[in-house]
Amino acid sequence: MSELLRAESVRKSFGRVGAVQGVDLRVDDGESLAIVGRSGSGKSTLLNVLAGLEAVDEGRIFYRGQDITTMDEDALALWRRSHVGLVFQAFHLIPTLSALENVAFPLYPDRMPVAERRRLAMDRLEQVGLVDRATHRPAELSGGEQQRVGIARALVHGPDLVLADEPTGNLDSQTGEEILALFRRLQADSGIALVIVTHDDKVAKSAGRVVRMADGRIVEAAEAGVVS
Amino acid sequence: MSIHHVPSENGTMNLSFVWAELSRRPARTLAGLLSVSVGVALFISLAAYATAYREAARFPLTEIGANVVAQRQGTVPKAFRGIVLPHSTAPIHRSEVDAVRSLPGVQEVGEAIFFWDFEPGGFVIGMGLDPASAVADRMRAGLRAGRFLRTGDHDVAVVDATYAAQQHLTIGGTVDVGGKSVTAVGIVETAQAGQLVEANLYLPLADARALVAAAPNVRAVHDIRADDDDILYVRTDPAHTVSVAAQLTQLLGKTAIVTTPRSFEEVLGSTFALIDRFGALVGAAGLVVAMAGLLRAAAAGLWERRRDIGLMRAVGWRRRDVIAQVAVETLILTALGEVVGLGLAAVVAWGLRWTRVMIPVPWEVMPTPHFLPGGAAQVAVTVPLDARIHAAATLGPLAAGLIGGMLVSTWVARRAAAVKPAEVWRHE
Repeated sequence: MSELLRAESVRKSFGRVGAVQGVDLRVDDGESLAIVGRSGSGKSTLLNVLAGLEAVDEGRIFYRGQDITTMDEDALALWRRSHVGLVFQAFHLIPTLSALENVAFPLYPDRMPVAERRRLAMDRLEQVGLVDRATHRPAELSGGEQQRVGIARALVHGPDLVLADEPTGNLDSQTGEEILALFRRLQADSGIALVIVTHDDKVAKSAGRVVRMADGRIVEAAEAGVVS
Repeated sequence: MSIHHVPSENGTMNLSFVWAELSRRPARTLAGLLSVSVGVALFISLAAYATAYREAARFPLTEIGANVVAQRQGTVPKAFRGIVLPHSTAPIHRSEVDAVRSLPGVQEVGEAIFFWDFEPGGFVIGMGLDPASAVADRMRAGLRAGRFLRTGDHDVAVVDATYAAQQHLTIGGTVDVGGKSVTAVGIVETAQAGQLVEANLYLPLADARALVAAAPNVRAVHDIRADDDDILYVRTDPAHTVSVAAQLTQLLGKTAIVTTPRSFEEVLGSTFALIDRFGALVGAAGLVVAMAGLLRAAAAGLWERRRDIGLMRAVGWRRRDVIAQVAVETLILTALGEVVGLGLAAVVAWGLRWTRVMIPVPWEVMPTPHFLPGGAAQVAVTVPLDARIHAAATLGPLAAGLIGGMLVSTWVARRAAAVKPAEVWRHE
């Protein structure tokens, strides 16, 4: 598999706290990678850095060979809108918009015909099994449904990398498993690369590869099921 | 499934998202909308009030069908016996009347002779009127009994209703004026025609002229002729009122008293100045408060939506996309507030039309001698306030509101665009 994303000696601190301390990481096309670790280990910060949501203090990150740490905020925003989907633990849906509108949300700044945008969003809702909830607003959806809307939103623009931060963290175990199954199916269908930050072993085991973080460093990397 | 989307470089805002934000967050929208609408309504309705007050000051003249009243400053009679001319009037000779008629912009000249009659039996204010004049037409509208003066009438009078009641005069009764007995043929409500042509008795112009010309105490101080007038009610083309007034002043000499709508405005000068300044101050303050309210509502909304705005940035909205979205949202809120404010102002203006104001009459055209009981009291005409929203008067506050809205929206939008998603979520 070809290299999609590569982090080299990435460091990120908040004041005196070194959240990420010299991390090297590679993500290939179509692979699934779980980043595990305890709270405060730096895994979410690493995910934000990989998404370009946090600027690195040191080191570089390459996307298909292009250094994204040299991009300004708007270029990074365009890069995400082109290539990256984000899934959040707290779903982060816009409360005033329907499920369909939330899915279409990343496409709003584009000069795209409304019908085309609606079709793309509806396709993604169909993929996550929520067509019948298209007109419902977030407050009218269950946690699992909200997360499925969040996943559909992450996929609406056809990214080749999805970064998910504790996607099952706010869900009960059964719903969490449903979401993992959905991720697996979507990944198999589309061939996207998936990076999941989690402290849930079940989630980690569902990934093809696992890295463990502690104190801002990667302390272990292994195939799924092998990591301790 | 891969459809790999290529984002547009040219950012744009989304109207359906704007509408969703405005309609589905009613409390915030209402707060911003009310702030703008109250400020705009305050400004526009105060302007409507000030304009209506100025218009009201013109009302006494327009009510008698004239734009200009011309008379000439006279002299104090040697004795207040029999018929005299009030010292605010003096004869205007036929040649002068003809000259007035020929002035450019003059449409009609209503001739009248106004006099006081001091008799042992009482005091009478008399006026000779041409029944064909516009002033007479307005008087005719106030007729309560009998008939009004007609061309060719002699030895008759139309009596003011109040005077008739005091003197127990009825139609067919007689009353003495200048030693001559005349028959009451009509009773008229003088107030209908305003204070400017108020008299006790209205006589045929020829009869009144003859009485005045023969009066010893008039002849003693004036060069009076049988066809003289002492008051002219001049109707002009409104565009020429100022120039006609200037020419009348020149024609009648340095003792001319020319009353125009501006004369009433001058009586009310300090009131107008106060209304204008107060209105402008309160209106401007209202707009500032409106913008502060909008800013507060928008800033509060921004804080409430930090997470959402963080999401915009996270899913790929650029700064300019966020700015366009938030700015348009605030601007639409401002525009909606202005529309509502305009509606509120129209309601206020409509309400003002039910109110009446007192317009003081300049002393020169007061009918009652100042030295008689009550004569020195300020005479005023009660006039309805015809408050209207003039398009020209709304442009300023609406433009100011929009500019304020643009400033507020730009500030709010720039702050919104500066939100960093990771920071927002880290502090949640």
